[in-house]
Amino acid sequence: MILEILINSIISGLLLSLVAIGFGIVFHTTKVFHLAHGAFYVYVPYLVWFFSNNTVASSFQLFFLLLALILSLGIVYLIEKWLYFPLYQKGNNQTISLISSLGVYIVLVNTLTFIFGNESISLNHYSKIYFQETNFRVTSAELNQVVISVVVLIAVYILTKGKLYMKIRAVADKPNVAEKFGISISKSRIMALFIGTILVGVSGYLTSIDVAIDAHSGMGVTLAAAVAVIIGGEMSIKGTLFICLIITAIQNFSILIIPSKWEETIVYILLLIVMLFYNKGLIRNKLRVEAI
Amino acid sequence: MNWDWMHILFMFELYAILVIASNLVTGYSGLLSFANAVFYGVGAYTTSILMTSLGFNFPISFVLSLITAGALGGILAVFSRKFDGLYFVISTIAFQIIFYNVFYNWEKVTGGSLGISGIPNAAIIGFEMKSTFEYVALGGIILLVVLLVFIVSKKSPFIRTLEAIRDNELGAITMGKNVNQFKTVTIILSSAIMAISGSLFATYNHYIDATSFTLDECILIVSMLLIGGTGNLKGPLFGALFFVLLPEVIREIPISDTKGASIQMIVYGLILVLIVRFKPNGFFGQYNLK
Repeated sequence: MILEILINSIISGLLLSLVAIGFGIVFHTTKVFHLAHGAFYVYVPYLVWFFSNNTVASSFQLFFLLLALILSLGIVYLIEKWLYFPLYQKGNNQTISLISSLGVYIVLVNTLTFIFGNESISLNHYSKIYFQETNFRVTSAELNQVVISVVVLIAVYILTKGKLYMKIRAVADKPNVAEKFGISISKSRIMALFIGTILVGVSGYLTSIDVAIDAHSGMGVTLAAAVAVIIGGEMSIKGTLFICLIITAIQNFSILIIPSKWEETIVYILLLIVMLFYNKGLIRNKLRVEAI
Repeated sequence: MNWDWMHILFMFELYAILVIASNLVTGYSGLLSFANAVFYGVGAYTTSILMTSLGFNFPISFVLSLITAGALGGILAVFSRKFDGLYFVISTIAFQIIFYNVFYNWEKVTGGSLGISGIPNAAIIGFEMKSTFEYVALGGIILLVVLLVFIVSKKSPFIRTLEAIRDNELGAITMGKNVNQFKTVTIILSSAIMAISGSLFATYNHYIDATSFTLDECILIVSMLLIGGTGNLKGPLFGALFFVLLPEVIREIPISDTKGASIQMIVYGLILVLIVRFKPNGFFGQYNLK
């Protein structure tokens, strides 16, 4: 039982970390508390599901995933161009950005329920038991989740060592100085949103290959991701990953002590406590002395 | 149009009280709270529990609901007064989710997913509210009292100090004002006023469950406030009226209820986006959150 819980915690932690790292990159770069992030968590699997059910080539799921991601990037591009960036230029504060993002989330998710209804969908058509022991088993869907999550996380880690991410980070830290050095704020913001959307979309897709999701699943995941980002600290990818694993471990292992229905409550109590005592997060990147 | 005007009017009164209370925190103190449904819910649950399980009468239950919600507001204020701006918003979202889970999961007290049914009618000095019209009258009187209190206190030192804190917190501190104390009192007052709506709703509906006090309900209340505008009384009244009438208008469209609900939410979301983008003061607001 403990092993099974541990495996579930790791899988959920990896999936949550994709959402959280994406959310963190967007949040720190654009300063938008991007609740609409949660809409893409469900948009991508819904689009893949739609393409799979309405085309003759239903086996090309990866191609459909790519198509769904491209469509999602188009939507997020429009959101940035028409809403977030004009608000940024006007100098609006983060509360206004949060409200705008909330509005976008409501529109996107309810467009989905208008078209597809409130029923949940799943892309789990072919999951088989990959490995079985007396106390636990691993399905092929779970194995895919772990492998793809790890590959994506490694890709993100490599990305963070490159020039593109450095520019994003410069805009996140000091946009005015970055602009003086010729870094385009608008391009960096869009790239941050693109990276975030790809990560959250992949996470939503991976979740749906194992369990059913509905159009409203994205909000809870995004808020949990926001908790991880706030607790994890500024721009700390390793910190966010670590906190995601801790959060899902607390959620999963808490069922040994208290009923599982309270697991969400525990996460938010944890958030309040951390915000109260460590308002810069538990884990911080190492900074040069002049940057402190 | 076959609208139940009495029901619509009563719902307008409930939401008007909620939005006016929310305006006290947002419009006068500059803090955007997403925990409105907690206090609305605490008012409803306290009244329901006291009246059904403990046999209290309505006036006592009503007063105790206000005290309970006010006390809880005090706890929120103590927790969140360290935060400002976005972090205050996040702390209130967390508070809302925690208490929604309490409403939904604490089965022994709140009835869990089954909720509480058989809540008696409100009765004051032997006069029992049996019809919607009587509830409209009661709600109307309470709304008028709330409005009068706000109108009379508009030029009071308390409201002026709140406005000063909202517009220039550092300046208010320099003038020797205890900002934290003012914010705490505001949140307590606002929470207690919200409980009025909860208490009325429970006795009117005779049944409550956690689904009436979700984060979506908070979003609705905040949307009402933002579309009407903050910092005065016209804005909250307009916002409440607009959002109470909107579902009725959408219901006239010949589509299924599920699709109608989706359209309703899409319209809410679009209004929120358009207001933020083009009219950050709302229609009648004196202050925006910028």
